[in-house]
Formats: sequence, structure tokens, C-alpha cells
Amino acid sequence: MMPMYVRQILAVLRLELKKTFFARRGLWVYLVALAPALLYVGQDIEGPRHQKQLEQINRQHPLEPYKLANVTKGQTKQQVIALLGRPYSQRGPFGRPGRIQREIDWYTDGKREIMVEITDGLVTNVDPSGPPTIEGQTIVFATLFQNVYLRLGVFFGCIGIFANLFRGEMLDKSLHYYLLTPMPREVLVAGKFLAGLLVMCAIFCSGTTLQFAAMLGQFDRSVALNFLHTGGSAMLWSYVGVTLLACVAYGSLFVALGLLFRNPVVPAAFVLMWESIVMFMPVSLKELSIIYYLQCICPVAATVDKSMPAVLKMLVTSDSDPVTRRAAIVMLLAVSTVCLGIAAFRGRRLEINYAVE
Amino acid sequence: MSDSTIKLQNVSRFYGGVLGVNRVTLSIPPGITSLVGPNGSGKTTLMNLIAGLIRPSKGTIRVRGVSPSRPQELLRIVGYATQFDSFPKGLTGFEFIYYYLRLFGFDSRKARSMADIAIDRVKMSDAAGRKVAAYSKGMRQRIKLAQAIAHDPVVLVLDEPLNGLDPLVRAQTIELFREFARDGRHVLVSSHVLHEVDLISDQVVMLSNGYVVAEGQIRDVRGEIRDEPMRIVVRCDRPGELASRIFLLEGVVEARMLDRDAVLVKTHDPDRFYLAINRIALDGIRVEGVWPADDDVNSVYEYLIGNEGASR
Repeated sequence: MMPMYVRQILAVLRLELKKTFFARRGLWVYLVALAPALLYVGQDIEGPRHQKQLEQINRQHPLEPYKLANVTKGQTKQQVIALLGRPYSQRGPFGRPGRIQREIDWYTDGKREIMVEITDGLVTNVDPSGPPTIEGQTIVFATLFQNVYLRLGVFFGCIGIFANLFRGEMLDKSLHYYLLTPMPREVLVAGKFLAGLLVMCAIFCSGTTLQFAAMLGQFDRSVALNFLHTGGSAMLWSYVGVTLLACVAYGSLFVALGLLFRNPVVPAAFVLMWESIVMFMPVSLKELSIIYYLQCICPVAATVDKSMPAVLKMLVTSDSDPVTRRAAIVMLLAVSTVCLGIAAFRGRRLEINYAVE
Repeated sequence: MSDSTIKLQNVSRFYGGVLGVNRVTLSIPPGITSLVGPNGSGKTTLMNLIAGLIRPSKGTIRVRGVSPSRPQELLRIVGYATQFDSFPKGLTGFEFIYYYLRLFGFDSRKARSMADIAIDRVKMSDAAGRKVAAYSKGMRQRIKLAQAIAHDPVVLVLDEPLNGLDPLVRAQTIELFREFARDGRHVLVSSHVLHEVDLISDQVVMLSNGYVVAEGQIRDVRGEIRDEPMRIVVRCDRPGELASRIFLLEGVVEARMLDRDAVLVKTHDPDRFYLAINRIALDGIRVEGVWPADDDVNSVYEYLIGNEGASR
């Protein structure tokens, strides 16, 4: 015979899933979770099309591959033309006559492409790009995952789902039905948290998996399978695990905030701000943020564009020595336990007074 | 359970600086008890306190011996249909009852059977498969009632349960209350409709501005109101003669003809009046009937609270 509290938690789960899974007002969370995967799908479609375009251009403007590497900063426009010929595409010149004149030229050898920026007749920037590589794409994935998916997607998804577990029902004036059942409030908090977690994990862990699959969709099947067999699967599972831990940590935080504050958006905004600015702060303060520990357990470190402003670089990378994965996981679980403890305590003292909500 | 009453001992509840109820001491026996009072008098606060949805600022509450601070025990014996006309989203009437019964720990089969019984008792079987959001006001009231009675509580607390019901359903619902009361259970009802309170209640609790101003059986409550003379109607064959003789009695402040064969008497001493009427009957005036005209809830309400909510 199952213990009563387990039966009650399962009953809360059933009821919450019935009420909230695929509920219309939560559809935006699905969109947030799927948006990065959609970007990758777009790239999967656009990548081969662009590659074919480059091959076609190269047939019209044939260019030896080694010549692209010979373009360097400081060369004159004439030298570049002498080396590569006329660009297949050009933008500019920009700027008023008599002032600084800028133009951007594109060249391709059929596989790779370079963008040459010319200011007042001199090359000021050369930006090469080639067909995607698995290594390059895993770094792009890591950067997008940590800086967009975790920081914004999972974060706002957790606000939408967990902060409303109690607050939403207070606003709907339907929370009293729960409080009129002979269920310990701690069990109610646990049941609702687990229901939220189940929904969040279903949405965001699926989102992570879809992104990863869509990222691999740019490559041949054999290349993708080889990658999965040589550590790619473990990487995917790590990302799913990080997503799960992010849902646990942010979820427990927002359940507590939803019970402590009448309008949890204000403290949530504070948390978002803190999670962003804390990266500019000493390590001891960095350790007071959830994103820091999440970044520590990601399988690939996020990287930055060399041209990115220094301030932004600090935001997306961690220059401190990361804590070990095990320590980071323990810290995240500890934070969650404390938050759930606070939520359970607040839940015990919960009263129905819709008039003030 | 040995204690079969609901006891409130010096209970107060404040919302910040606003008074909900103050120094309420009550002992409510089983049966139908109506809470009567104007808006803001503290009826809902009192019900929420009894059901444990809010805690008292002061005082103690025992519902058949169980404190509301022990919700796991209390809510197995209490069913509460609140005044809130709101429901969890997306559920049908049956699901609404069924899923909440599962929270009590009942297994699926038992919960299904209990939900069916409760729905049948409020005559909602035909609409049980429809979404609650599509129900009329009366249907929503009934499904709330079904939810409150589904786990077979011995204390039923109902906030304005007759609102929005058509006359037939109203009569069926009142009969349901009576069935519960006959089983020795508590049925605590708040209502604005005073003639209905009169009709259904075994006792009333009158509230005004957060204070209990009267409690008990309505006739006893009326008897306690000494300031207002009791109104008694006497139907007889010679009302004029009866009025002139009655008027001489000590305590009688008014005796006037109501129609050709009835007299309305107002007296501060009804016992003396009833003795006198016996003598008058023996003297040859044929008395066809004597009955009090103001021992109903409406009159008592008017005397104690004013006419703010009376005769509604």
C-alpha cells in the first residue's frame, strides 16, 4: 500500500497536469523553449542552400582556395583586386564624398567565403567563414545554450510556470479547493513543485534535445552519427542534465517567491538583474548566483567573438576558476532544498484572503 | 467522536486593522444553523475560521473536538462550499469532484463512485461530463455543493448555497440539508434570504459588525428581546370586545383591529397575556386562534440589526 503522502502528491500531479499541460495561457513557454531549435532548423535549411549558392558563384568567378588566405589587413583595394579579382558581391561605398569611404566586398572559393572591409582604400577587416564544423558548432551551441537558453529561456519559463503555481490560483480564486482537502501543506507544495518540474522538464529538456538534433542536422548523417558515438551522446545528456538542474534550481526559487510575494515579477526582475551583473563581481559574489553553477557543469565552455566589447565578454564568460561539477551540483541542490523549505514553511501559513490579492 | 458540537471560544479575527469577527463565543449543536447578518457582518469570516481557511487572531475553535490547526483531521469531517464562484480551469463537473477526491487519498475506483453519488445527490448527473465553465450559475452552485458533500462530511459549511437556484432545485437542496441534519450532522448555512432561513433553520446565529448579536432557536431569541413588545394576533368572533379587555392588561401597549375578526396585540408580558386570553375564552368570546406575529427571523433581524437586510 502506497503511503498517503505519496498518493496525495500523485493526485496533485495528476490534477495539475490536467489543468496546466497545454493550457492556452502557457503556450508562450513552449515557444520560448522551441525558439532556439527553430533557429537551428532555419540554419539547417539555409546552410546547404548558401553552400550551393557559393559553388554556383565560384563557377562564374573561379578562385583558387589558397588565395583567400593571402588577404590581410593593410592591403590596398588594388592589391586585393589584383589577388582575387572583382568581388562577387559588394556593398558601398558608404559615407559622404570627401569623408571616410567604406565598402564591404565578398569573395568565395566555392566552399569558404571571406568578407573584406575596406576603409578609404585600405583593408581594415577580414572575416573568413567556411562550412560548419562539428567542433565549431558545439562551441556555438554552448554559447547559445548558456547565454540565451539558460539565462533567458529557462529563467522566464520557470517564472511563468513556478511563480504561478500558487499565485495564479490565488488570482483565479480557486486555491481554496486545495486547502479544503486533508493534505499537509508541505505535500501540496511538493506536489505542485513536482508537477511544475515535470512540465518544465518535458518542455525544456525536449527543447535542448531538439536544439542538439537540429544543430547536428547541418552535417551529413555519417558525420553526425560518428560524433554521437564519440562523446556527442554524453554531451547531449550533460546538456539535458544541466537543463534539468536549471529547472530544479530556478523552479524552487520561483515557487518560494510566488508564495512570499504578492507580485513575484518584481523579485524575479531583481534575480535576473543579479544573475546578470554578478558576472562583473568577485568570485565570492559570483558564487551567489545560480547561473554560475550551471555554467560550471556545462560540458563545453561558452566562447566569445573576438570583436565583442569587453563588458559583454565578461557577461557571457566566467574568468574565475570554476568549481568542480560535483560541488556545483551539490550547491544547486542545496539552494533548491532551502527554497523549497521556505516555500513549505510559507505554505503552512497560507490563508485564503482573495480580497487582498 | 465524543464532542458533537462546534465550539468557538472568544474568537477574534482581524485583517490588519480591519475587524472580521470579534470575541465570538458560540456552541453550535448538530442540525441546520443559519448565519444571518448584513454584508460585512462576519459570516464568511466565521465560516472560513471553522473550515480552517484562516486562523483566528485570538481564541480557540473546536469542530466536533478537532482544532482547525489540524487540517488533516478537520477536513475529513468538514465540507465547505465557499461563496467564490470560481473553479479550476478546464475540468468537467465530474473531473472537478473526482480529482479533488483523489487528494483525500481515495483510490480511483472509490473516488469515481463517491463522485457519482455526490453528483447524483445534487441532480447533476446529466451535466457531469460538461465543462464547469459552461455551467449556469445554478449548476455551478450545485456542483460546488456536490464537491462539499462528496467525501461524506459530518460538518457541512455552505456560504450562500441557495443563490442562483431555481425554486425546484432550491426545494431539493433544502431537503438535502434536512437529510444531513436528520443524520445528526451539522449544516451551517449563511443566507440573506430570511424567509428561507426561517424555513430551514433549527437555530440561527445573528451577526452584526463582526459581533454575534443573538444565537439559538429563533423563538427563544425573540423571547430575549425585551425592548420590543411581542406582537400577537388573535382571531375571534368579537374582536372589538376582546381588544378593549386586552388593552386593560398590564404590559399591553397596543391592541388594534387587523380586520373584521382579528386583533393585533403588542405586549411586553406575553405570559400574562396568554393567561388572560384563556380567561376571556371562558367568558364566552370564541377564540379561533392565537399566534405570535414577530417570532420569525425577519422580525428578530429587524429588531436586532435594523432593517438593513430584513425582508430581503
